[in-house]
Amino acid sequence: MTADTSAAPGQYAVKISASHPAMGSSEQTIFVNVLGPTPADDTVTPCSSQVNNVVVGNGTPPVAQVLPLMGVVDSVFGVKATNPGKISFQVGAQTTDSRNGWAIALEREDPIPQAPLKINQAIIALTNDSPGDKDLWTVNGAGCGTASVPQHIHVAQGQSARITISKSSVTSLILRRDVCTSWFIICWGTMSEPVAVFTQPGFWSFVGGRVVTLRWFHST
Amino acid sequence: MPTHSRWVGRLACGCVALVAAAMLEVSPSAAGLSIFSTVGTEPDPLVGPFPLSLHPGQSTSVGVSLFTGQGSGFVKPTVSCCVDATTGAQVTPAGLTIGFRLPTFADAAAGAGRPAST
Repeated sequence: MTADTSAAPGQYAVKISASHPAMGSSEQTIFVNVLGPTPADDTVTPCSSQVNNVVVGNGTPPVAQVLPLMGVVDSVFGVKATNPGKISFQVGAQTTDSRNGWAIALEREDPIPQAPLKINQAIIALTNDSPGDKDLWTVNGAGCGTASVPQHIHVAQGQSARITISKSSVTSLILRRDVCTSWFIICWGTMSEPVAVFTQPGFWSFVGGRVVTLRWFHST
Repeated sequence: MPTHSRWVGRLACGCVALVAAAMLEVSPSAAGLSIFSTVGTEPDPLVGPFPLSLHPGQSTSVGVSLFTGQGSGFVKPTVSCCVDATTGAQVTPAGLTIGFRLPTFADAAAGAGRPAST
């Protein structure tokens, strides 16, 4: 098979079949991926009014850092090219102030279901291995809270939860954490602080068709 | 176990084996045709163990194995392209050419049993 230089990126199912009058028939479907260039990152916060909606006191409100993806996607595909049998990948990420860190695993669904995840679907899991409650919200840059109801995961320390997302309604994910706002001996009040959001252009190149586990292992 | 019980057990096993053999004899899949590829069986180009992917400007091939009954003659597979795996729609992707190349004597010389390629 040949993809010429104008071939459009996509994922195609090709049926190979054979038949014989006396022996019946047999067929096999194979999937062909025409890969496109990884979209370049942007630094735009998707749905910023939805993502950065925390205003406390007179200080500068916290804003989510935009996590770039182009280098990560190119890197894991580069590893795949040299290790075709590799089926899981680990990526590390942290905020620039080093106060939050994640280990991100890209894997296939296991056990493999009858109908595997399509390239426009993903399972997102959030595991909280650091102090304080954590949240993950879906973001839809096409509608910013109006086109579809955001999906949400809330996990206390030691917990894990997952959601299935679709490309038609999700363009990014926002990660938030609970921080204490009033402290006297113990914490009397918390707020949900935006921490990070994935850049939109390469988001589906990163998650599409995979189980993506974000293990929030560091939070101070 | 008493002797007569052992013989009953052996007889039962023998009957099961005979029934299984008879079923295999009439099963079309056992007598017929099977075709498979070890590459491209899972959709994801990254986390599938044997993905089939290419960039624009590239060519690639995939081995396809075809097994037939003995003395069945020549069976030529056909390739039907394509269904968009995301939408399920029948499409003809622009710029993508898929064909089936039958194995040649040169292929056979290069490696016995080497499969044909698309």
